[in-house]
Amino acid sequence: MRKAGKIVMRAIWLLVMGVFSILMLYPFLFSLMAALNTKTEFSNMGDLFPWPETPQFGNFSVIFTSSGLRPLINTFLRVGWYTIIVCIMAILVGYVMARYNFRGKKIFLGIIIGTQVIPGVLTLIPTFVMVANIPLVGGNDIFGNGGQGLINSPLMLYLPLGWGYLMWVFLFMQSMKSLTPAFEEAAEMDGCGFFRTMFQIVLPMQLPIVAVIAVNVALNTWNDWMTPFMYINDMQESTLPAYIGMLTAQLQQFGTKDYPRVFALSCVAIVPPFLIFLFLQKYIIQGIASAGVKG
Amino acid sequence: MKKRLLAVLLAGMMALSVTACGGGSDGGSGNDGGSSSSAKIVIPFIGYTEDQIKAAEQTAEENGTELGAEAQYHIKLMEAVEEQYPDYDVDWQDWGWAEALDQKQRATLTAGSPLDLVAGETFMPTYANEGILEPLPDDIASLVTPSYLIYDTEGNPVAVSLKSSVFMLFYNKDLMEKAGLDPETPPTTWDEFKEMSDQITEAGNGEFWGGGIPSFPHAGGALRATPFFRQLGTDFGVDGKINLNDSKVQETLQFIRDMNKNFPEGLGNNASEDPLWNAFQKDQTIAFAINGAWQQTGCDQNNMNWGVAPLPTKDGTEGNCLVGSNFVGVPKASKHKEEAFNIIRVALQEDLQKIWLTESTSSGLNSILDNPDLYSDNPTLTTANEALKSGTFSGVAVFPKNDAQVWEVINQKVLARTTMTEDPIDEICSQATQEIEALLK
Amino acid sequence: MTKTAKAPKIMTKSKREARRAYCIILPFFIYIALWGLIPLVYGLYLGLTEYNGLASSPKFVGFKNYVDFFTTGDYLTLLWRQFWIGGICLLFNTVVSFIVGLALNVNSKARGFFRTSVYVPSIAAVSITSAIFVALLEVNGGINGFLKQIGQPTITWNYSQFWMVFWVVVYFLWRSLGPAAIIWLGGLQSIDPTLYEAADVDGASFAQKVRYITIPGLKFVASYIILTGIVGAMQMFDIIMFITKGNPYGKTDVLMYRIYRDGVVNFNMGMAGAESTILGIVTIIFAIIYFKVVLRKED
Repeated sequence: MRKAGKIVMRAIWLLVMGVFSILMLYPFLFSLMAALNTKTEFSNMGDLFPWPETPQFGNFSVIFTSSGLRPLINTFLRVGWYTIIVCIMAILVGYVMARYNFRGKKIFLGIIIGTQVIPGVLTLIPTFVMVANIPLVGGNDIFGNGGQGLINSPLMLYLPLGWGYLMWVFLFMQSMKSLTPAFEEAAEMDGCGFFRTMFQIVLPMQLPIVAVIAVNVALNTWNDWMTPFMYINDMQESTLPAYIGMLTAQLQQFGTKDYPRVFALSCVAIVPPFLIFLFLQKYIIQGIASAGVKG
Repeated sequence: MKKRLLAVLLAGMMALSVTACGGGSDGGSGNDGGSSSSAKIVIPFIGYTEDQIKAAEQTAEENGTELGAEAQYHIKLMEAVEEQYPDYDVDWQDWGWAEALDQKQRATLTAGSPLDLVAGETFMPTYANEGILEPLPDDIASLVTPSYLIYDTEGNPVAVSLKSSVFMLFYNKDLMEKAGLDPETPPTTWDEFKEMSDQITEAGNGEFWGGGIPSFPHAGGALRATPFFRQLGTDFGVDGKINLNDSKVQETLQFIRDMNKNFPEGLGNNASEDPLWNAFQKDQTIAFAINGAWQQTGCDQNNMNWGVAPLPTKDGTEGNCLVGSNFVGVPKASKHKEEAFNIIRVALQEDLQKIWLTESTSSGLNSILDNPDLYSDNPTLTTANEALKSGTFSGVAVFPKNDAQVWEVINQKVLARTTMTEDPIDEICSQATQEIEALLK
Repeated sequence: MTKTAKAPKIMTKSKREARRAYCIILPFFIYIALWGLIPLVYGLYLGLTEYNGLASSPKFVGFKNYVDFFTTGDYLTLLWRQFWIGGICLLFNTVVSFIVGLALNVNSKARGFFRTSVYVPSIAAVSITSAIFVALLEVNGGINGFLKQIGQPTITWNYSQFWMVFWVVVYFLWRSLGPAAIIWLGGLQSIDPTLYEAADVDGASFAQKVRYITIPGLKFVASYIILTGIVGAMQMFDIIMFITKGNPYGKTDVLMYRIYRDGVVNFNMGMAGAESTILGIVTIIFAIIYFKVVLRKED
């Protein structure tokens, strides 16, 4: 009797979770189907499953032959650059914070923790003004006036702003603390220098946490559409998610709309983070779980 | 040992930063901001970069359709500029359109290092009012009809439209016939418009509708409402002040509200305009549509039995508004003014401008307007060009401060609210006036 | 913070360490101060100025922007709306993600698939996925088409504040559920199972087990989810921008969206600075209140 009850419970669980999972995945399915329509075919729209009579791949081929290609490449370059520099920063600063004693360490630690709770809204607009007023670039004079600074400069794609990435320093620092310093001390005794110790002793042992940082930074950067959206004007110089953001914003503005094109671009833009997630799931989940559980 | 590792690391980082930046800036970025001496001219050309033309060509080829007039025009324009000014290095860019374009252009304008040519529709008068545009040379200004020019506060023409249209009333003859109306006599007055539309809606009984005046919660709504205000001699804004408490404005709003009952719910004030145009041209369930000349293409493509007439008027007084314009102007701060004007000259060449006629879009060139042979076989163009010749029209009203925000309030909280709710119109207007006055202060 | 145990304490070594530490971390912190702390201070100053062109210099106007904020009424409405729309999002997200976390805390082969499908929406940016909802919510869009098919009257979503907020919340849930559920799951799994066994031995009821074991065990996780949730919800505007655009007639407009428009669209930098200072302070106050409440309960 008890066992039968358990089986029924399990069946209900499977059913409910199955339906729920399909609901969660449905929007992606819709987007994929809609992307295979032509603009005219999709104009009726009144279908939850807009499967076209003859699937058209024109929307996709356009992306790879022209308009979406540059933004796509830009996105990859941006993600690569961010991942590398944030990892380097997290490793170096995190290591020093965990291992070395020096005056003012508490202040630095306070900055790392404190900035995590300051809302980003406080710096959104001032940062924009500051970027426009960087001296001596983009036509600015030495006082930062007269030009547009780095607004609309491709450099803005590669300039980390704010403090969000200090979280990864904290994560590496915590991970370093759970590791005994004995290995490094032994290496140092043998005359290993700082960087050699880092790369030959510390990094191999800390690879999992570095992977967590790298994967999460890559995902976050891929999805950061806001920075390019705000700072880059020419869409061809921007990133794919920002480009899509502009097209999406225009859906509710004056003028005609091309939904299938937006969906085709979206489908392409989802693929890289989806692949990262599929193959590196455990690092992502470890990243958010450790952020939450360890605090 | 230590130093060597450090050096390798540093070199690696530098190499990375170089490739990263190189990857982002290849192909010419356009942020030289004018400080450089190169003659690179940066132009946001309304969604037609070389890449996008390639994309448009490919789509046209796949769908077996012809390239639209817009794409054709820009291809020709690029070719002509390259041919006539081979030493110009023009960077055609895609900065989006409407609000997105305004936002991005304004960022560079307020920063003092704008593009060499700014473009746009509803917000160009604002640029003109702020005095940031260079007056057009006389030879350019004299090429086109005055409606196609935007003047600054001193009365100098500062921007010219490469194409434009006025609003007209397109109607579905089949639906009129179904409702027992004569398909050859479209409405000419507000009362007729309302009567006929009501009759069609009644006859349709939920199958088809008469149609009214759209009140989209963005510039698309304001543009279509403006002609009706102007017929009564009023407008949203008069002398830079908000004019919503004018009884004539409220009378027009009441008319818009009454007419909206002849739309299926949610169609006339939807954020996306497409459902309305689809209902008119594709499903053919709406009898009247107020639109610019490009509507003809949609009607023809869908084999519609259609007609076109001037907008119905209140007491026979004309009033209209330019729409579908592509205004261009040269900022005073531009470093390549003469080059930019030369490009405008090319864009206004007659052979290029004739491309617009294929899509029933009016060209502002006097030489085309004064030559009815070029368009007399086209009823839409004839109607539009008659209107253009008979009077001077402008785009929507302009406010001296926070223009974009003021229009946002008008579009969303006046127009859309008028048709979405049953709130008293004087209450809607007084609330919006209060909000707008705070913005204008 | 705990000091790492160091072997022989020689003066020169600790000095060398300190020098090395400064060499490495100072450049980073200077950079962060440049792009993190200076904007923070600069934002406070911007709020006291009138500044509508990037080329000109800000004009000091004292507290005018703040007075406008509190006297015109519109801004207070927007702040209130940010609070309640964000609050609903946060509330539903916390509750539903907890239920999903519980449901995922079952040993099964299907769990991996379920976990993936719950998490996947959050890996795509708002800009990438919101168009789907815009299309579905069109007046002739997919959902109305479906309603028609099953013989129900269609709904004009964009006429009603209720429905627009409803769909904003649905989108927010769809996108934010996954990470929160995974964190809940992590919390659930970190509770020592022997506690439940001991409770079973003592004959505790299900409710008692939840009350005395699960909830205390999840306190930390809960405060993390809610704290980050408060900060996130008070800054939510991208969903509003893409899905409702503030429609119907400004009834879903929120303060953060206004800040964005004032700052980057209309270049009303002074007002945007004042608004963001107020929103930032309100957010921090909410976070502190929440923290205090949780802390008091703990005592």
